[in-house]
Amino acid sequence: MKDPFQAWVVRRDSEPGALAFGVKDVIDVSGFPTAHGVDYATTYPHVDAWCVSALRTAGMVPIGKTHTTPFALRDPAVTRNPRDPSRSPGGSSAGSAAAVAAGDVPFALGTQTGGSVLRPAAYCGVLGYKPTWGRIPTVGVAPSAPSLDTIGIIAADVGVARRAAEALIALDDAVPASPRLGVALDYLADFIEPATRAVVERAVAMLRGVMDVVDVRLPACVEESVTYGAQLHAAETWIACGAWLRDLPVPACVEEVLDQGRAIDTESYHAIRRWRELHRPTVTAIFERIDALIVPANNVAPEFGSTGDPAPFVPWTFFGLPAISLPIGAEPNTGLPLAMQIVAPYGADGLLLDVAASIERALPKGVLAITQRR
Amino acid sequence: MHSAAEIAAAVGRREVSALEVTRASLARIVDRNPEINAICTLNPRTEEDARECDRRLAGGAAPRALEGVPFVAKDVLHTAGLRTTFGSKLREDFVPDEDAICVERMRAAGAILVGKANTPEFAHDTDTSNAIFGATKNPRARDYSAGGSSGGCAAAIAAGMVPIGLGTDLGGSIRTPASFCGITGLRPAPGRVPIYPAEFAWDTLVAHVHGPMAADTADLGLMLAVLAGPDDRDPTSLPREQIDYAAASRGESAVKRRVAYTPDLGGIVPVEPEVAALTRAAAYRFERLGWTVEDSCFDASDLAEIVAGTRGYAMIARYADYFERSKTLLTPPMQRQIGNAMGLDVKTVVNAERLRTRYWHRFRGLLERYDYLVLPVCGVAGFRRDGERPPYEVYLSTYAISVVGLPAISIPCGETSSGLPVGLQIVGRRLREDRVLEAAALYEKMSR
Repeated sequence: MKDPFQAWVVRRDSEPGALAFGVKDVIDVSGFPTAHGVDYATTYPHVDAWCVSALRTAGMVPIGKTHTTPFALRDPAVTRNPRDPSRSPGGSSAGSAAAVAAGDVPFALGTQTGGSVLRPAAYCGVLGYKPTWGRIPTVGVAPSAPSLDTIGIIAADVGVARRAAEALIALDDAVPASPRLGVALDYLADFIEPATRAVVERAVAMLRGVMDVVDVRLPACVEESVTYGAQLHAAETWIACGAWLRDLPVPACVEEVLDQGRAIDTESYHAIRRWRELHRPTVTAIFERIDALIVPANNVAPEFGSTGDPAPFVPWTFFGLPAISLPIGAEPNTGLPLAMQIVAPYGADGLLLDVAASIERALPKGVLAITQRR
Repeated sequence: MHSAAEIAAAVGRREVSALEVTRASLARIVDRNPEINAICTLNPRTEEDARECDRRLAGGAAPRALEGVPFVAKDVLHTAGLRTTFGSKLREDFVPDEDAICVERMRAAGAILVGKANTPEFAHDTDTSNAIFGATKNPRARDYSAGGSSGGCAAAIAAGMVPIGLGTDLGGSIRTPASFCGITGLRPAPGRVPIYPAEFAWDTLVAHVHGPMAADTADLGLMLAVLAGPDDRDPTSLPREQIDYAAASRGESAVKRRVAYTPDLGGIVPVEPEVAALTRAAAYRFERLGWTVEDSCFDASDLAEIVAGTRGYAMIARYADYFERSKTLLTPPMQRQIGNAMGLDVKTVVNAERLRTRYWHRFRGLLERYDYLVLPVCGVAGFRRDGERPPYEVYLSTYAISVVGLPAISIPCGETSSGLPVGLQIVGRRLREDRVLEAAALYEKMSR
């Protein structure tokens, strides 16, 4: 089977009629080995991960395992970006994003501990969806940082993402008839480049005509959580994986995270968790006058070899809020895809998917049509 | 100190008198308690009670299950004629005129109450310290907390003052101090050990339960056999079951069971690496018995919301009057907890109950596939009494079990590199304390 972008570790023919999906290779699928992005840590599970089992129950079929960065951290995977093979597909769910972008499957499962679902989806010009933390049990998925780890969906469009989500989560939250969107274009101004911001601004301008859009200012703790998120990630990776990984010949970024995590003592770790609890009400208050939030998502995909910067995705992972990265156009100089991030209150996954569908409908088709350059 | 089982057998055979055992216990208390501060009130009738045991046996009466075994009761448990302070200035001079049912049953089985064990105010803290008696030290590490809220019981047992004690557990108050002090403790199903006197006879929103603490599992079983059974003074007490808890706690079953292990309930509990490593190794040790052990969990992600709502109800029910009348006599942590609870509305509490129901069905689903859920008792092995406290989330690992009333035991499973004991929590199916005792006893046998 053709796999020009090396999205797949292993793949079978899909069954006609069934909705096929790919599975990131840190998630167990019965009958496939789980390699975790390296060739020295393979496990042979008999049992499907909870999320795979739930999708099967809904009649969907896992047809293969997609490449991950080693242990879902930041060393690159072999996968190339289908929009431009000289570019990175991002990480860590690299193969899942590339498989959907290449049209191999309508959706694939990924995992996000910093920005590992939304970032590769944005780089590859497809939709990334990270549910509220904890809504999809992580049983059968290799841990990275348990209080951040979230199973996510990378999909061709909102409709497909919703079908998969319905099999995994009870989407029973009430959705307002005409949701009000808050926009914060100055979000993480140090990370987001002007060209990125301009594309988001243009998309938002189109939405203003058809939806209720207001500008909002975000509290300082959102940006501050980028640093704390990275520290929490490292600390918990050491706790959850230290015993497993410390004696393996892991690549440089994994080594770095383990060293960083080992250096964070229990009191500092607790201080970060306490800081998160302290600021949760502030983050909840963002949604007092709006139903969902729009912020920029990504700069263009970097050259192959880097997996890109997770920073713009970290705050929502850190506080556990559901978020979607939705492709909205191409960066003018490179023609590479850019996305907006849509964020909803904790637990409001149904609302988030509804809002994303409205935005998808409101933006003209041409905006979303991103062509492959090479 | 010998185990309760050994003492009861020896006294029953009249190889040693109850008086001699009691005097040995008192000598140990005189020696160790001034430093540890585990026992806050001694029972002046101790020797008299012991002599009564000996007279009874001399008269030819059959020996009872806990004949001549010295024990302590946490100072929130009513003891007839013996000061019971709840660790609070508000109840400083309270002397009950009747025993709590659990104390009554221990005495009826021949056990000798030597004193009351220290508790934080109204048993609502994770460190055992109060404005009347001060702080209890951890006999295993003096600079560390004995845990809470049954820290006095745990410390008295760990220091060898008594072999057994009675504790109470709402969110983890038996299991956490047992873990910190390196002993064992059982939180039975609510209703298994009837509760009386009680201000709320139908305590439906996460009840405090009374339960046994001991140096080993066999003594927990022996105690539960004495403590379990219905009593009309507690209208929610459970009917008697045809189960021999003492036999179950000898760990003689060869039936193969299935164990689910989780270090942190899916990321909810911040857990120290050494605690995670020790408990994981302990859980997988059951494979040596031919059991199946797998990493597994259920979605517990709304636990914090459930705890906030249900606990808020309990705080208002018990303490709102005190808070309004004499707030300044309460310790600041109590004032804060009650104050927070007063800010909740009924809808929040009701919603927590709705979430708890869904949570139960998810938990139940897991226990249809496994006989046990095994996890750390607490995210930390302990904390220094003079240092910063761990965040409350480290205690969610016990609270997660309390909110659904499943039986759970804490047993020691090793020590950290700095010598702090670590507790393993074994949770069983609904109403199956016997299975929990059985697993714990089998684990102890493997570890010997």
